[in-house]
Amino acid sequence: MRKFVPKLSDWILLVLAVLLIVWPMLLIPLRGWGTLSFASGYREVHIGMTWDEWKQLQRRYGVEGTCDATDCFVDDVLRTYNVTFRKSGDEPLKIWSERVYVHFPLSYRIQLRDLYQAFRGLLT
Amino acid sequence: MLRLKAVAAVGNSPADETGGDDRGSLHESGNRKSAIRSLRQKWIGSNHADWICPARLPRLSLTIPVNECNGDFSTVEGGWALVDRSKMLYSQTNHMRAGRFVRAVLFGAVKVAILAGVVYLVCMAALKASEATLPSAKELCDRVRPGMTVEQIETATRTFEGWQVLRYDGVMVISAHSDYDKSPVCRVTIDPSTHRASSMSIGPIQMGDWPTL
Repeated sequence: MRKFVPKLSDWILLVLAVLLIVWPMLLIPLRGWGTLSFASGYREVHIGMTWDEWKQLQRRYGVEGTCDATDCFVDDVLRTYNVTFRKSGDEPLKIWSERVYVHFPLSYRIQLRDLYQAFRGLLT
Repeated sequence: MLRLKAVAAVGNSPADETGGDDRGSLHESGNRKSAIRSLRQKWIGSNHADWICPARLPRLSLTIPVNECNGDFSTVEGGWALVDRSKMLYSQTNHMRAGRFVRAVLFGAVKVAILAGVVYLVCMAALKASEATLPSAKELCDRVRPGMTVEQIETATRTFEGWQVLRYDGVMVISAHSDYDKSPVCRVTIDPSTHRASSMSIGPIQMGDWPTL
């Protein structure tokens, strides 16, 4: 039975294996200088929130997001928070949809895409 | 490890036939250097190049063929070779170290890969379990009461995963699934005059429920 008791090297290998799996989740928040969890910040997001209020909320929680056209994304270790802005008439930009999803194992695809783009950038 | 190998080699050696006490002396030597020195003294003697069977040398490396020297001392066909025995021992020791290192690295890599697979499966299982506990569209609609404001509806129907959209036509669409799959969604009609919920319904996702759909 003693041979089944994990050795120190086994624990080290287990830590390496865990890091191998979670590294995209650790890197995604770092990319946007984000935070471990934006859950409490997301609870303050509401439909009708203006662009200025959204930026203020981000500043308050010390996170940065990436925006693509009308969509903005904030990542934390576990989830991605996605809000969509809409402009109607003379009114300022306002959030009209919000979405949250766990980015595992999607994060692998994102990271591989980023790595591929970085590799292509090095070649050109 | 080395000691065990050396002992095994001694067991196959002519010393056993002559009743030598190499096994005991190896155990007493205690470390690798002295084990090698001891074996060199007993099996090789001086540093002469000579006809010698590699399999009769102490098996310190995997590169030495085993059981290839069954012929007598005068034949070459039996697997005998002309070797410089001192260089061979040195080379054997180096091969042993390199082989050990490569084996350890490969074994560690395989172990990490297996463990990573297990960790991945555990994470996926936890994710699936959390998805299974997400409320259905009916449960989401049940949380909404007529007369609720948009903000109250949002707070009441916020889940671990999911999305909420206020369409142009004043219908609020709520889903507890992160993907835009075929699972039904909850629709809440907002009265344009009071800005409060007037009716709820459950149905499949449609065009216009999400900007990209």
